[in-house]
Amino acid sequence: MSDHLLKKKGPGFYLRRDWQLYALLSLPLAFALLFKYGAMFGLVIAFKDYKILKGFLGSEWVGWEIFRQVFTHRSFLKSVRNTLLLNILDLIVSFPMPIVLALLLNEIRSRAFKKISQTVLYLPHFLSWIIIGSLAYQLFSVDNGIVNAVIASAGMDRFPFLQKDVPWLFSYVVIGAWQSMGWGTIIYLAAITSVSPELYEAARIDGAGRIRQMWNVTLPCIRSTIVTLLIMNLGRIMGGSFERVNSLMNYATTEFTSTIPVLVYEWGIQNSKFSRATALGLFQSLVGLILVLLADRAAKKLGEQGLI
Amino acid sequence: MKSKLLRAARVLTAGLLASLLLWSCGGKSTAAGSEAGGKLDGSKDYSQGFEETVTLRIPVYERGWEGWNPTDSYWTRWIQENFGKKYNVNVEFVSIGRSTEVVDFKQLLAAGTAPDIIFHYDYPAILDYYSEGAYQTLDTGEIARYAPTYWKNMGDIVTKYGVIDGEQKIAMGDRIELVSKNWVTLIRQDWIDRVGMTMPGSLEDYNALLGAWKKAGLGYASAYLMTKSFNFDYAFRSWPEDREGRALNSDLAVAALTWDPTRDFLKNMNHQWNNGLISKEFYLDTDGNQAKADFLSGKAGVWSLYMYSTSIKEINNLLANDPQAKLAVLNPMALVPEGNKPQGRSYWPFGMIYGVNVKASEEARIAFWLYLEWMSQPEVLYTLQNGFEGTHYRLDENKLPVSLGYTGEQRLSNNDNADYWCLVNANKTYGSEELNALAAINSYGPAGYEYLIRDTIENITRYKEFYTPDTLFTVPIASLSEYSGDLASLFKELYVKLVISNPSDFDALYRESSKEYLDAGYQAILDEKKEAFDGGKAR
Repeated sequence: MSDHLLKKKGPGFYLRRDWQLYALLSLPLAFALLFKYGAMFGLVIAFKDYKILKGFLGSEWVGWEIFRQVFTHRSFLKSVRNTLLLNILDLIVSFPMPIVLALLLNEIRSRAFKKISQTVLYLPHFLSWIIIGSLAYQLFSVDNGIVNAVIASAGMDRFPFLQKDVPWLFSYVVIGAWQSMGWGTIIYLAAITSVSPELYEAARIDGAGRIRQMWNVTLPCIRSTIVTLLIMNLGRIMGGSFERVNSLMNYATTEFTSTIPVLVYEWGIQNSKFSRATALGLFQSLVGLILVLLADRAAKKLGEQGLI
Repeated sequence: MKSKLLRAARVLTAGLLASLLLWSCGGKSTAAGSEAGGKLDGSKDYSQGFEETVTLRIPVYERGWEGWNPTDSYWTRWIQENFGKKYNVNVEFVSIGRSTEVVDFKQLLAAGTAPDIIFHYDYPAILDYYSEGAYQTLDTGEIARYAPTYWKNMGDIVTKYGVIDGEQKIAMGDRIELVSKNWVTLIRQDWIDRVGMTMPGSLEDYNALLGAWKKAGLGYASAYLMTKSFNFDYAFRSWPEDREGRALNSDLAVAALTWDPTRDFLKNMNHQWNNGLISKEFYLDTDGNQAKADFLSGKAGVWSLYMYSTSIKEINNLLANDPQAKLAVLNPMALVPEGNKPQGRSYWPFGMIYGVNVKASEEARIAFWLYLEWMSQPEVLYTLQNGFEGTHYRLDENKLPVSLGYTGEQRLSNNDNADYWCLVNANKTYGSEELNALAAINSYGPAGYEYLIRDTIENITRYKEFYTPDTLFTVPIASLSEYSGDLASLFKELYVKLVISNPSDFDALYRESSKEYLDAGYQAILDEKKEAFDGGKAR
């Protein structure tokens, strides 16, 4: 019966009935079409010897030549390695942090203290990486930084937090975790509020303490949220933030800083090698897509809903 | 329903793509249309102006000066009032970042919104634009006809240097001053006195002085990351110069990492860094601002800058931090190892180099010649350079303008409007070498510190014979535009590594780095330049 009705009333009916909702939808839809799909047309230059004055259409087709150049470039393998390294480290450190933090925040009894801590924890998320980068260099400069001044006045040796390769890597990950963990808690806190209080009651009756309740009630209940976010994060493992690396990098620690987004920026924006930058970006996106699909399949195997 | 929605989405996407296509093609067809509009065969004469308003889009450098908008200032309006109205031309200025100019121009070219003129101070960059196909071929007869004064001044140089691959592609502004009179390296005289030494006369003396400063707890020499304009190794070059070595290696656009003078330069810097003679974290300073801050706050005792009368602000800043500070100009010999000569880079005998955008209309091109002609009139140029008598300057006993320090609405830009008049001349000229020097002191010298400019000019005059221009290739060096960007970032990486390496590892690391650098494209550049050099395509 309902099926029959649906057939009678075509999309036009619903468009007319819910036009306000569709109007609201149209803006983000237009955004996605224009900036996510419209821009894809430009991908053709990954297969062309793009000359700025000849334009997208007029430039010569060169097949896989540009990709050959990209894959044989001396920075290519290094940048793939660095991209994976930085993102995997991030996943290991920054991914669990918001979960831990959300669990802890959830246990705070004083409402005022909870609100204040949350606000303070969110704040770094709103700082641009450029600002965080210059703050970091102000704080951790070997000669002029306040942190090293304190270390030196305590009679210890000044430490190159950002001026040597391995310490840089460490600082990069820690600064990233600091910036993102507060904001990341929001989604988990929301998931935690939907956990039924009866479960906690039952657990308490069974004699579970605070830690036991977290482990046996809260975590299993927000498992699907964690898995969803994990899938999304796995998709980004070949991506990574350009701003973050760019604002924290310097020329004395280049071992880990040349990542794919940095290379795309250097080639495309700084050196006007548009074709090459496009090809590298396309490669990165394709690998990212494959990773998301794989992670999604794995999640389904584990009995979760998955994304797609 | 699902399929209908899908179809709708597909149609929408296709429509979007189509409109994008049309839009990008549309831009092109209008430009082509105007190009085709009536070739003049003597019948149409625009020398008195245009019947219909012509828009002339002129690029102007944006140097990030506080409170200064280069595309809309009193002087852009003055130009419109005095030139634009007369010829019915709407002069529109297009801002180009001084430190990002090539990228800016290329992006504007890609978007089809580049100005009618595409310029650069350096010849290889011009060749790069040329190989992108950015320039129209010029008709020297047309320039001579519409800009006779300009042509009288510059015709010989334009026909000598402006021909690329056998065609007249570019023109240029004049340049009288082949070495900048206001590039000044300051040193703290009071620090020299405090350690009981004298102005160093060689690199060895200089390093000893820096060592004494460090011992006395005074400070170091400021340094910053070299990111472009690679002209740092002159003091380490042999004299008389090695013509081929210079032709192949001396290039602002690409650092000659594998060349011996560069090795010696880096080796010295490695020595200075390891002994704490220069700023430890120089590689964090990508724009020179930290170097400036170090000098002004009394942490560093040596600093180089382009000095203007407005530099008095910085000097006062330093004095506020350290009232004892005394400034002197560093002896150029102080950077030269024993036995070498104080060599330096001089300019080619022309200033700004420019060609006409391939998409510019005939009218815009002619308007540009008229603009050059108007600006070549001595009284126009003088006003653009100095402002108005009584407001901006007074005349001294030599009839030279002396700045009155005017800072109101009609003020000149920080470099005395040079970014507007650079099209006809790179410098102010007053007729003789002596008067030019006096005028430079007047205009660049901060009040009370004129001696800094005077001493700099004296140094330039004393060592005049050791200043040489780079070899000018008259064919585009394709490998240079292919690899120079890549090599510039690799150079930063490698040179910082070399400077901060342990002195005992330097030689091995240098060999390794040189190999990497050659493989990354430098060898290709050397080969191509050698071929052009041997083929007589170099001046």
